[in-house]
Amino acid sequence: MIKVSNISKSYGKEPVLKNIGFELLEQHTMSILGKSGCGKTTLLKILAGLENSDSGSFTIDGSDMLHMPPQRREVVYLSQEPLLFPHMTVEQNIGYGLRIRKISQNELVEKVEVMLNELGISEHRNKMPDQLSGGQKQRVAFGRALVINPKVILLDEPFGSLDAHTREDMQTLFLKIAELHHITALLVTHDVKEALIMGRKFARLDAGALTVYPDKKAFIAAPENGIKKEVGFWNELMKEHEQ
Amino acid sequence: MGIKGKFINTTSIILLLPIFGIMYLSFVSQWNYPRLFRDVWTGVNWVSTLSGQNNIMKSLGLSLFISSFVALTTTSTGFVLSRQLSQLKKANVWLSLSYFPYLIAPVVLGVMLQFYFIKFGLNGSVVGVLLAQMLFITPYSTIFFSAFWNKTIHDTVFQAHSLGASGRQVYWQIVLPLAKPWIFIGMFQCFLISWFEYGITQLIGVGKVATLTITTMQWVKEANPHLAAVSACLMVVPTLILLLINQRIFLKQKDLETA
Repeated sequence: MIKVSNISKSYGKEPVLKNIGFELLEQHTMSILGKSGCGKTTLLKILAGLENSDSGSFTIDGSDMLHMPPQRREVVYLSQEPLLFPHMTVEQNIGYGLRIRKISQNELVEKVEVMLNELGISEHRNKMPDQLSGGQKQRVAFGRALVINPKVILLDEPFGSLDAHTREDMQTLFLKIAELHHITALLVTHDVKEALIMGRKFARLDAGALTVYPDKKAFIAAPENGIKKEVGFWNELMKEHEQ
Repeated sequence: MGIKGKFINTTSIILLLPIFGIMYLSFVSQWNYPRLFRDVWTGVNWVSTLSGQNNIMKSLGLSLFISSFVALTTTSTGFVLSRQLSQLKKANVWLSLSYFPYLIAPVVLGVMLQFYFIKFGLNGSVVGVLLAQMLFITPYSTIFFSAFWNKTIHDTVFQAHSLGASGRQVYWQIVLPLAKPWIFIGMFQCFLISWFEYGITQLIGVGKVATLTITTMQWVKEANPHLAAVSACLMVVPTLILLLINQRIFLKQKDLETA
């Protein structure tokens, strides 16, 4: 189980995160909804080890993570930019995490092969990253993270730079693969629809303070998330159209 | 041949004219001003140089050693320093300090350093010249590599750590392959700065450390244009070789990119 307690962070005198706390069960995805600049990227970077928090704790199955170097946390951070290694092919990118773990060549080839097939990018295996589209790059980034079977995947608006159609494809693909690989994930997004599609647990980060909702119903009902307002808008539009 | 081809050829000839000039002077004897050409062709200048009858070959060896050493050390130091600087909060303020040696003339910098070099007994020695050139070129190398350490590189490095790579693995498998073209160009430029460096070398070396640049100037001062030309020809050779190597690397990289 992932447990985050009282994480705070300030830049100078300006507080960015205020006593953040939540719990997340294994194989669940938690969606954190928040506007730009609300501190959601900072939270993920702290959990990934890219930034230090001023206070608080972060444990996975009781083990302290905050004092562990990022490479030993088994917490993979995925951002909007796929950040593929430009000097490696698709196949080499996906197998990178396995290669540094020095697993046998046969096992590596097998795992990469499975991942390439699951992501539907087998035919691009020998391509370099600059020969791929945005969606394909993001698939490779996912594959590279998933193949090492991390304890948690942190998704920082991973589909933000994709067009609407590719974005939907990637959301569906992620759900399928997350279920297949029993992934525990934390997703931050400013898109309420994406939060609803991807999450099983829901929270909202506003001006550095986190509100965790007991269930999906409470998340939908909360006026600050604007879901009912949005639904009302579309209903009104449909009614006008039908008249 | 198109207009573009003609333009490139004409530009190349104009750029190569000075080299043809010194080559011509190195193969003739008794040239006197104001005659433009003299037809006494001779190989004596080259024979005397290659057989070690003058100090040019010795200077060439010394210059190759100094410039290679300085290029290697300043490139690696600049690469590491620029990374450390890029991680600081006020990186730009620290980086701006690197411009200090270039705000003043190299000779003035040499004069400023000379006191300390005399004090530590480094004046007139190869070690002193090496140290002085390194002090002058390292800030350039740091400025050059600071452009490499951009946000994407830092994010990519973090991504590799996040996937479980150790610091050493990140350096060897991610950073160095990405920095390879930068390192080649950086080393090439540091080599050239050291190769043609005159002011600081003359001041700190006090004439005892006869690099090829110093020797060439000595032949010029002695009004021997023929040996000065031989010396100058040898000065140009490494530059041309390095330019060719660099061009091949770029073409290879371009081929890979378009493949």
